[in-house]
Amino acid sequence: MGNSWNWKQTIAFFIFFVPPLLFYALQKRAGQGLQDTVLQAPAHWLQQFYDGFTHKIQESLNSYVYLVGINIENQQLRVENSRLASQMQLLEEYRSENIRLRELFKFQQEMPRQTLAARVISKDIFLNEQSLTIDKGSLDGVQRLQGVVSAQGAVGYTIEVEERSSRILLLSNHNASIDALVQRTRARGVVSGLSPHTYRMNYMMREEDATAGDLIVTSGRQGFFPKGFNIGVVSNMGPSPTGVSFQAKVTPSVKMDRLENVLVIIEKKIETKSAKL
Amino acid sequence: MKKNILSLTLFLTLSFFLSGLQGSFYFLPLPLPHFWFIILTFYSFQKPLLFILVANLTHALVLSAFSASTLAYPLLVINILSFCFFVFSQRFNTNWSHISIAAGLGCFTFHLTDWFLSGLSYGFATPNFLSWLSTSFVTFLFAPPLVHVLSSIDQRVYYERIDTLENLRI
Repeated sequence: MGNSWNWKQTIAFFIFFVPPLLFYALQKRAGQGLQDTVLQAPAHWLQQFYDGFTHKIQESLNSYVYLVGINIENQQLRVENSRLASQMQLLEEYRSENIRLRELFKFQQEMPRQTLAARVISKDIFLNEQSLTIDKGSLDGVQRLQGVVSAQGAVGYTIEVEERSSRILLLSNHNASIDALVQRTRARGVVSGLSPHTYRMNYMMREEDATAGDLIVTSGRQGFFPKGFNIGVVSNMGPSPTGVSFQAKVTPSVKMDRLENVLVIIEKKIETKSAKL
Repeated sequence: MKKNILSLTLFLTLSFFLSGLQGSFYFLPLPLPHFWFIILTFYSFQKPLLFILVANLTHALVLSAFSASTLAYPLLVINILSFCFFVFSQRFNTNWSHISIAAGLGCFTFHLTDWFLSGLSYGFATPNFLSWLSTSFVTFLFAPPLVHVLSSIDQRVYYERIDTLENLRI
């Protein structure tokens, strides 16, 4: 087409180029800008509209491939299995916690929390951004900054909530971070996303705090995740670039690209008399 | 001016619907093309720079609604890619193969650059070349027909219909 290019145009280009660069450097969080309030609602509505079609397509494909009765039963068993697997993780954590507390002659009770099953309706259009949209929103009781888990472990937390849909920031996102601990040594750190298939656990004090194969679980300190949900397994351990602390690379326990159903933890931890003992 | 605004509104509406489509059909074995790359290629190959800059700003607003990223991220990415496309458009033209190559290569280069810049900031992760290649390939395939559809829409907005018979009488 032969578009002409001159210095005035170059200057004009950089006028449009430099401000976003500065904004990017400042790393303003999503969900707070003007565009979020104006465009989020129609975007979520559109995703739900498409989900109507895609869900029917998925259902038809599944019904064609599998027998109808078995498929329905399978769906029910999957949901049941997810719930049981989640409870198993909690029970395992309770068991190890109980052993420690018996040694200390103290008792503490972690109250089970109410969860809400949700279906994934859309994924982020930028692959590296790692977020999901689910079909439950504020009308279902979902609020901002609530933990989201699957049968395999912690998935992420809600960052934008519309009436009938919500966006989840996955733990594999660079901007996501949660408080975590190594199940074996009880060493604490902060897990954040490195890539879709790797997390990083920062701020550990000693090299022997974790070794390859150690399980990383949620610490429960932030409030939106219960204690003891699987995050991943340590793949290697080493000093941080600054040399002040140690960091571990963690292989996620959840395969984010295969998520279809998740559970939103909608009830906050309730302090009881027994918990205060 | 009025036609520019109308043209821009049409493409942003199209971008809105296609972006939603891309996010919702994530479960397909082969990914949908990066539609925003194709629209970007169209802008950069067909439009003057001022139009491209304004379109990029509004296009980034639309894309950020379908992402957890800040507005600055798509704005930065789109401006860099537009710059590259704009420079290359002086060597390329609007035939099918050139559009395919521009959109496909742009898509792959975007993934590679994004991985490199993220690596500098957060630490390098294992690159997923297969995923990048598959999205680039699908974008490569879808780009020419979609760009031609966009061109035909744009021509209808920009040019008055001239009745050939009326013209002959004159």
